[in-house]
Amino acid sequence: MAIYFLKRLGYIAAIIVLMSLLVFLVTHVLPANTAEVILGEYATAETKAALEQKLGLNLPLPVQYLRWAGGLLHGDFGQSVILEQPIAPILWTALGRSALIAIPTLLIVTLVGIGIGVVSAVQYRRPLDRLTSLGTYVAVSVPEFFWGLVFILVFSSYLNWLPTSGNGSPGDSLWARLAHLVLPVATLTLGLQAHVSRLMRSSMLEALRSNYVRAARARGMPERTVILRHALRNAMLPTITVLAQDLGFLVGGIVAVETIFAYPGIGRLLVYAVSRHDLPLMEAVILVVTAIYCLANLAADLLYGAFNPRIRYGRSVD
Amino acid sequence: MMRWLRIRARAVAASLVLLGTVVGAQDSKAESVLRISANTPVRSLDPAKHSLGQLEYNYSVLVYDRLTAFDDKLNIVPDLAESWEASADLKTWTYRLRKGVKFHSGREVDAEDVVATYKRLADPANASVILGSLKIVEKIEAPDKYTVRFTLSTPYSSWPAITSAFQAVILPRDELDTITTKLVGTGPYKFVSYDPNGTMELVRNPDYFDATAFKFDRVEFKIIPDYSTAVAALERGELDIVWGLPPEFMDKLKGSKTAQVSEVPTGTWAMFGMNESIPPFDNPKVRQAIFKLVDRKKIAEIALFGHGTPTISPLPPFHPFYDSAIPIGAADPAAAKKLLAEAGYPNGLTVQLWMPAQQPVLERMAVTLRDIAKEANLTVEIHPVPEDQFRPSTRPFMINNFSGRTTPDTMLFEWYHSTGSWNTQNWHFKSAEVDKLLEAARQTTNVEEQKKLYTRFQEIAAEDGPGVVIFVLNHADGYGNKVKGFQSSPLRTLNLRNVTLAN
Repeated sequence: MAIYFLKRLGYIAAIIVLMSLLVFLVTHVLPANTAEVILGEYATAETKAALEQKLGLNLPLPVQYLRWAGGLLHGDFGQSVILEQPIAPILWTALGRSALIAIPTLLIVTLVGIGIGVVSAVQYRRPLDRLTSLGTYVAVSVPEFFWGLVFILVFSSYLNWLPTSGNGSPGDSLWARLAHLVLPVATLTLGLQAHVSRLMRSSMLEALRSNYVRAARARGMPERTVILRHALRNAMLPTITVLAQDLGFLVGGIVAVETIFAYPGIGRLLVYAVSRHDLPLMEAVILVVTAIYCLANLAADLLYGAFNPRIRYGRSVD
Repeated sequence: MMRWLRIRARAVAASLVLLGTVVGAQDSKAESVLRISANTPVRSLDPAKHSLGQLEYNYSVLVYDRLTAFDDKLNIVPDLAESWEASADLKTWTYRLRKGVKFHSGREVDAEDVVATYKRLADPANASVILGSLKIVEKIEAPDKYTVRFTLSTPYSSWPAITSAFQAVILPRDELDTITTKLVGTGPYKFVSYDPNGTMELVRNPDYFDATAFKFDRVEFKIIPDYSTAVAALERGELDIVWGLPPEFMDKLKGSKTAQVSEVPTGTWAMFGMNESIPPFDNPKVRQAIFKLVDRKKIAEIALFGHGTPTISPLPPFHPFYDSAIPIGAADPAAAKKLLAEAGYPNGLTVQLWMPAQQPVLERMAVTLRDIAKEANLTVEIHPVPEDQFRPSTRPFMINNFSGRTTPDTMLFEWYHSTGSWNTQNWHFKSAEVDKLLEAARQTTNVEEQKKLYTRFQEIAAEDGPGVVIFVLNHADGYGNKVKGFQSSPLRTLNLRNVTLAN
């Protein structure tokens, strides 16, 4: 187990190094350059050269990369070339704010997704199943930015319940700050829960038709126990995998949702870094996101082992 | 399970309502805060590199001061300098500083700070965007604590306009190394914090030399990329001002019960640019044909829904030197067709038109030209490219817009003079007469003389130039009904002087 774990950590480190190289190279083949972006319409050859000198952008690529990577090994994310400020505080603040959206979203997606999946499997082809299926398809087929705008119109403009955007002001109360999270979380949840609930529904249906469920029913177990103890536990496995993968979708969704709701998290920091060609900032954000994604997948795999039904089932039956 | 879900749903709905009432109930703060939206983060926190405008200029005018500034009628007015005067040959400019003005860090501003600020701006290593304008400075000196003297290599009548540039804010000479991490100015508001996608927070500077004109304890700029969101937030009272409304939102907000629009003509102009170093635009007949195809009034109407004014050159129609006697020609496709045939394209010509993507106003301009060009057998293929990849210097034909400058010289010289920085990079327009006119205007302070020179210039620009200038855009801000005394400025920055919030 320990060896497996260490091996996986080794892979993750390798992925991160590869990723950092890839980001570095990609940004260097992009057509525009950082100095031009900073200077905008006033860029002249002279000011461009001066700025590149100042920012170290005139050094050979490998030197630029090693400089940056060397700093990272010392825990130093370096300076944002656009803001001319240290990256670490900006990055951690944004990440923390995104976690405030992402963690509730994942929790709700897990609970609601599994719930809807189980209910529609149990109610297979009955009106409730059709209704949830239709609802799920509508939720997932329309992109986040549309739902975001609809929510703003309904809950902010029309009903006047919730703030439209941002993350509040320094003097706001806890409630006022939490209120800013509701619409972003709801928007993200809407799309993501479809993955979980659809998958949960089909694996649940499969489990309900299996021989062991039939056997359990034949032995006269209450339907509730059959569904929750026998079928659900088995059907959970693929769902765990898809939840880990959903973290990837979540990052994509967060970019859209943070933009609509003007929420200052990691998604918009990434967009900002890319649009401004701020290479060190871009590298830092992408690496942190990559690391989180890798670790989430590792966690899912470990959880998978823990949920392994052959072990669990064997124990609980006798 | 179903029952559980239903109960859950009811509980969620109930807590949503609860949240709503709690949020709705927050008011009656002792402190007055003005909340303003901006749609893009700053490009740089170093004022020398400010070039995006928007939030950059808006916080700059609150946090910093310049030697001179512009008022909302584009007159040059005192800022940190109380007065200034030129020598008879327009080469030596002497500024007298206001006494007792303090930096936010506490020290009094003196002439050495001004000298250090300008030396920093003139040093190419700092990549200041006004480096080009400072090339004519030979010497900057501080003869005494409150006097600064600029010696120029050439007579230049518009020098006080250069010292009003947003980039030329006066910084403390002993804190030049920490400009972007510890922002220190002299302005009515002190910088508190900036989160690139979130909020920029400023707090009132009670020691400002004109502190009574600025009423809010705090000012917050919120970065809200989507205008639909910003307008919804304004109507709901989460924001007090939405800076820079696009034309499509101006009319929408005019019908609002809780907010209104202030709209003002600006010097920001848009143009179809032609690069005369790239065929077919090296042929004067092709350029003339393009001029004949443009109906400025029609394009302004279609592209801006009426929120702009057609113009001949970057000199805006509200400027005293603008000559309304010069006809803003209607399109003449037949004449254009004839010109193209004379240029050697009797069977038609295809040109590639480049423009920055995601700018609906420019898109509508492009499409309008494309449609009318068909009548002259000219095919216009439109290529929108991301803004940061839009490099005009390599494009034969382009659309773009440019922020207005504040004096006729700064509005025109860099675009129309054969040595102008913009022109030499992008268009390579050369006209001996235009060169002469623009140079002569720089060397006189006689207004009548200048007006004559610029009138002749406009006559030429109506039919020839680095491109066809179409219109100047209006600038508009949305503001809540609680905001009193607010008016949009043609400078496109927010003027918060004597603005208050009613309760």
